[in-house]
Amino acid sequence: MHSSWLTIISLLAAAGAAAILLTFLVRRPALDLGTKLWLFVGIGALPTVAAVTSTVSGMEATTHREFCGSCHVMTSHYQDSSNLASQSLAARHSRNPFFGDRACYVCHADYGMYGYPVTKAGGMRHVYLYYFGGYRQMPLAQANREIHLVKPYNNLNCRQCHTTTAQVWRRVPDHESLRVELESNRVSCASAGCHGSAHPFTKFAAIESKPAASAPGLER
Amino acid sequence: MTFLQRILQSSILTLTRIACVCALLGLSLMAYSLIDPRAIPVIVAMSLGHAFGFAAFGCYLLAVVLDARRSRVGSQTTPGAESAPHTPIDASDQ
Repeated sequence: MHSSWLTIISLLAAAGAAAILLTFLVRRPALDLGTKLWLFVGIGALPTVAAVTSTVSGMEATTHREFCGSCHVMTSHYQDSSNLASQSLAARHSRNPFFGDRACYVCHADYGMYGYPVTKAGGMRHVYLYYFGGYRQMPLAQANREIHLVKPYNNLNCRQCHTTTAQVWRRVPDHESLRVELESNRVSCASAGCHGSAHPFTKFAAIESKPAASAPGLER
Repeated sequence: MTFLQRILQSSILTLTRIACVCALLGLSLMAYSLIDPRAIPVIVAMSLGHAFGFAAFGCYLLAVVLDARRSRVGSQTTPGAESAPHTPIDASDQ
């Protein structure tokens, strides 16, 4: 439970509404104007506050690493990103004081005007695959081998923070020579020889198991 | 008898109680998603919880409209009803 002020407001509104409704159901007062106004507060006003704040709070909760790690197929990803000794890209980004607790979302979200709803729609696909696509029963070792991105990782996500216009980026010879390939996603920032895989254990598992058949793609 | 007719003929208190129960169900789903924010509770709260909330408010509005309509019809048919105060509905309305 993320005890933000929104969560507290939502729970207070829900508790207030529930108190009004239970009082009406138990005491059965006459349905006069005063009772109708109380019921309007209990059925209309307070539940609206609870619904809006719980929706915002719920959507915010879905951006946390703990939420992503709550599905068992993401256990290795979560443990690696939480490991202070790990030097994987995911772990290093998860130690960032500004967005580390939301590193999965920040690195995997689509950006742009429709980025948020598109990302959330992708999340619904994850839920569908988890409960109806066989991932729920999948052993962790198999999940590490077979679950993979549904499309190549977009370098634009890296460039949201690591701008390619700064001198510190441009003075790296490999960056300059691969500029076109990086912008067109033909070369990934997180590839071997560059910055390495974000989740290297998935690559080792895939190499060890080849030529295993792959499962339907799951965008992480 | 159509579904709409059955609703219109049902007791205002029954509609109000249905609204209360629906609202309580929706609120409990929303509160549970805040306490345990995993995928299924959050999705259920945002879909089923909101559906219960809308249903509750719809039942409440219908009850208020029916109550106003019946009190208006009553005041038109009863002689001298303008001077008589509108009797609030109590449990005996059932």
